[in-house]
Amino acid sequence: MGTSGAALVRPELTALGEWLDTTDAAELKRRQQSAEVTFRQLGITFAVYGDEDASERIIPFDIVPRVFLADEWARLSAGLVQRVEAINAFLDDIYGARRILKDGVLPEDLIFGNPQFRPEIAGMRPPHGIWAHICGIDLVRTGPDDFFVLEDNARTPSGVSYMLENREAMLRLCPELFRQFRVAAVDSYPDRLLQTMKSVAPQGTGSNPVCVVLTPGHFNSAYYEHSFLADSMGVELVEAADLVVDDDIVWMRTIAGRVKVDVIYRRIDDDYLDPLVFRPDSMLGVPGLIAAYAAGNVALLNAPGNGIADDKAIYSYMPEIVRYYTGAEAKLPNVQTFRCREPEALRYVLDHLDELVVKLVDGSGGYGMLVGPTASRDEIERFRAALIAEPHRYIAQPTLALSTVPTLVEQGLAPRHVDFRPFVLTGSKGIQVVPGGLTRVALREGSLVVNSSQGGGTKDSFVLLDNGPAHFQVQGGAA
Amino acid sequence: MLSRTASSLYWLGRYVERADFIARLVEATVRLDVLSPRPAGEIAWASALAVIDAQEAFAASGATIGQQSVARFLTLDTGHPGSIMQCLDKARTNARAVRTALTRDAWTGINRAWLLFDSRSSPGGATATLNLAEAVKAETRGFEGAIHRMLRNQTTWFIRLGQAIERADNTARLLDVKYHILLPEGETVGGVVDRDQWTTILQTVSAVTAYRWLYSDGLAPANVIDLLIARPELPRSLAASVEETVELLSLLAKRTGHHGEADRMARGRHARMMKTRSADVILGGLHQYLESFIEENAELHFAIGRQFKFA
Amino acid sequence: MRIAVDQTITVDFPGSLSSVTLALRVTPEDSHDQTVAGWRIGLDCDARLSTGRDGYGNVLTMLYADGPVDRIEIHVGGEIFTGPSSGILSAAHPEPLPPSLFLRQSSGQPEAPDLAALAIDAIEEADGDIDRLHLLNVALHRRADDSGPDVLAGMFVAAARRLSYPARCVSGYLARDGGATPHFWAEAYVADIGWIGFDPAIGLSAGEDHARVANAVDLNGVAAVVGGRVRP
Repeated sequence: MGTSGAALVRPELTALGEWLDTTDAAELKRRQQSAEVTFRQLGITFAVYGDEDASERIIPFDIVPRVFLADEWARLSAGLVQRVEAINAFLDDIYGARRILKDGVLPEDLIFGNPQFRPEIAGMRPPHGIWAHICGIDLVRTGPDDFFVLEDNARTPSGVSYMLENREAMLRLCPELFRQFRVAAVDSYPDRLLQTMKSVAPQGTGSNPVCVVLTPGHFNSAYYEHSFLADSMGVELVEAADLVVDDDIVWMRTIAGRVKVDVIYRRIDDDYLDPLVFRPDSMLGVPGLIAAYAAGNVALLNAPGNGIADDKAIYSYMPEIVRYYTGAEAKLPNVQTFRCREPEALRYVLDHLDELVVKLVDGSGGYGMLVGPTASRDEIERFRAALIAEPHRYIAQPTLALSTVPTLVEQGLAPRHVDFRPFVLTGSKGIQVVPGGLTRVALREGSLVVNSSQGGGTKDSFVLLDNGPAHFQVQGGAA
Repeated sequence: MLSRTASSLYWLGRYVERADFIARLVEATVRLDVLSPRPAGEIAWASALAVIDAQEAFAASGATIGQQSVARFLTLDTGHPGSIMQCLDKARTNARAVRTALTRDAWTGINRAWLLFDSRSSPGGATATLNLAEAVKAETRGFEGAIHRMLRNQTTWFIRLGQAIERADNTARLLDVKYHILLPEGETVGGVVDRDQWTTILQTVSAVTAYRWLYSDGLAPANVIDLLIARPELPRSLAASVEETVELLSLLAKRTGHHGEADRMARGRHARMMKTRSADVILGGLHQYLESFIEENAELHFAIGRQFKFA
Repeated sequence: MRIAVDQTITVDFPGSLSSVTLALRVTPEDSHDQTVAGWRIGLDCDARLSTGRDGYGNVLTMLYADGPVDRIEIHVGGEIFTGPSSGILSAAHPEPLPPSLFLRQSSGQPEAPDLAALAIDAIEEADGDIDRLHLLNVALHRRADDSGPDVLAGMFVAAARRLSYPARCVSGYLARDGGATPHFWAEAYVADIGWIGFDPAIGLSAGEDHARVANAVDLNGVAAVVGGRVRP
């Protein structure tokens, strides 16, 4: 046995600690394994970045839920809504009038020199002016109510199937928790997503627009999620070859002939959407899709070009962006970020490499990253050279005293670092935050890297409808 | 339903059926080989190749005809697109592409059949080959059962349509080969080898018992031909496959609201089949009849592809 | 100058396709520098055409044809009247994207490691921005060997960006011997002056014998046809 559960949880979550202390660790382990067996059978797997041949792995599941109290969640939601509102306003502006540049809030070259700014779609406007319909905002916490945004994901954020499957597993394996904690339901996500899709259908498509999910195919690492979402919304899961554009209208090929498509939730990168526009060398994608989009005949979720909003180089300006578009200070602060493109910042970073986390602006999945405090001399020197050679490609952040949550490991319960990705939906009728999300946990002791490709796991995220029960009542006979 | 999905389901049905048929063919040929004195045994394997029209492909592989070589060619030759292993591989690829439309049972059936061949390089001797064929049949039966337990919707109809078209083709080929090449020199029609061969055909289509029920006067080639062509009671007969094709197509037409050329062709074929008497077929030339049946079946296959817009 | 255009573009689709979608950038527009009369796009097959604009503001015509089709002939023609020009685009020309966009490194640019050296050598003696760009243009023209105008335009763009001038690729027509041929050149941006056309294929600025159709950050963005194999 490791540490007592009660010692690991925040004082306001006494009940959770009591649950952990009264439930046998072996029993928890057994339940956890049972969940993982189910995930494997369902095929909820992922492939490791940069390792195309790697066999499919499941992401380890941790049975101890991460809990948000109702008050916390209300504040967090308000911050998320504000942030996503700003992201949408920013995208609409930057591909349109570009007021924010004229007003000198952002340096021009930050936008125009950035490959994520797509001149190909400049001047095009998505139906209803909404760009980032589905956002996943990565957060970390350093203390009670001290949430920081780590990263915005405004392109094709994944992970929502874990939120739903983890909850399914918890309901099945730990029903006693749901009897005592009033946990907000997340299973309405597919319905909310479908409503969001329908709400942004182009004008004049009628009351029942045809919606589809566009996937790169079953070899894609997130294919399970694509098929899961299509199935649970009751819409077709299409590949590029199933779609054809004619006269600026998108059709899908069905056994009963062509059917007009109005809304596409695409899980394909911009580069592979339309070979006539983005990658002439690519055979992938739907030729003419962007012409149909430009003509206003189809809605794409998320809109093409969104990469400029969640780029790491833009991230450090998000407080200014939020202030500019919402007229208020950001409710969710950024992690302090040194822009190595700025000589003064670069100097500071080079002097403090052993304390900082240095990230490649265009890296992902935890690769191209230096975690100063745990890095070897060699690694630090390698990054120093890289920084001096190409400073504009890097940002640096202080290592945060990240909060930990109790997690079941080999030796029993132990504190582990976590981050959190809530999902925010934006339709023509407003912005909504799904009461839950994906909690990722760094399973290695002391590790701050939660990416699934680097040994991270996931756990369920309970958003409570109140501030939780005072105590956990042990039920007669319950293990 | 997306055309691509329908196409994958249809091909899934065809490849599973083909794998099952080849397993039966191998099984029956092993039996015939064991029963027969040389050189009839060798000829049994040559006939097996003829049934699936693979003599040339086999010759190109450079091997000489024999139990080991042909069994290997038919079961797990990765270079031969018609081997059981290759059929199952294609069935699995199609199943993967429509994974979410299948039940877990159906998928598992395909996956397990496919796994039978994982890291296997030789079918082994006669007994091992029989075991392998039996295992393939067991898994495809499992798949068949899973399909019948699935919702009766377009998904199952397209799979079964693929199976029906494939089955019609397989049975016609099986019969055709027996009719025109099999007897070794010196053997007489109605002799021991001849009888064994007709029995083998019945075994291949699981019709030995059915035959005894339907025909009281012992083994007669005309009766076997009658059974395999004109008796809809036998699931693998041409009549049954033709009838099932019509039924499936009309279920699909009802669902999609479209009738097309495949419906018309299938109904026309069925109407002719109802009037077909096997005695007339034999008089008019069985080989010609089967050849034109196979050709028409292939045309129907293409008509299905056009009607449902398989790319 | 009156430039009469009568161009035939043949596009092949190896393997014959069941349907074809092409993006065409073949339509010049009226501006302070040119006036277009009687422009038409003709096809040798049934197709649906729809016209819009790409992100650079170019006229983009989408062509949708049903298959089976293995070849399409596109006839483009009309008259363009250009005024005398020093190569400087009229300031009133609408620009949807700012010059700083045209400083980016693009995957569509030709790889020429010695371009930087060439650029620096070329401008050694230069006096002012326009002179530098002229010298660069002339240097590229002298080195041209048998590179086509598209390749030269791409090289000019890459070299100018190395010298920190925003630069872009331009497609259009060049008047020659009473007719006009499809052509490519480049434009570079000089602060307080604007966009200036340079044609390294002839070693001069783009004058009144140049009729402009499209511009983009790289050559891919100004291709007359995207989506099939254009017959050379």
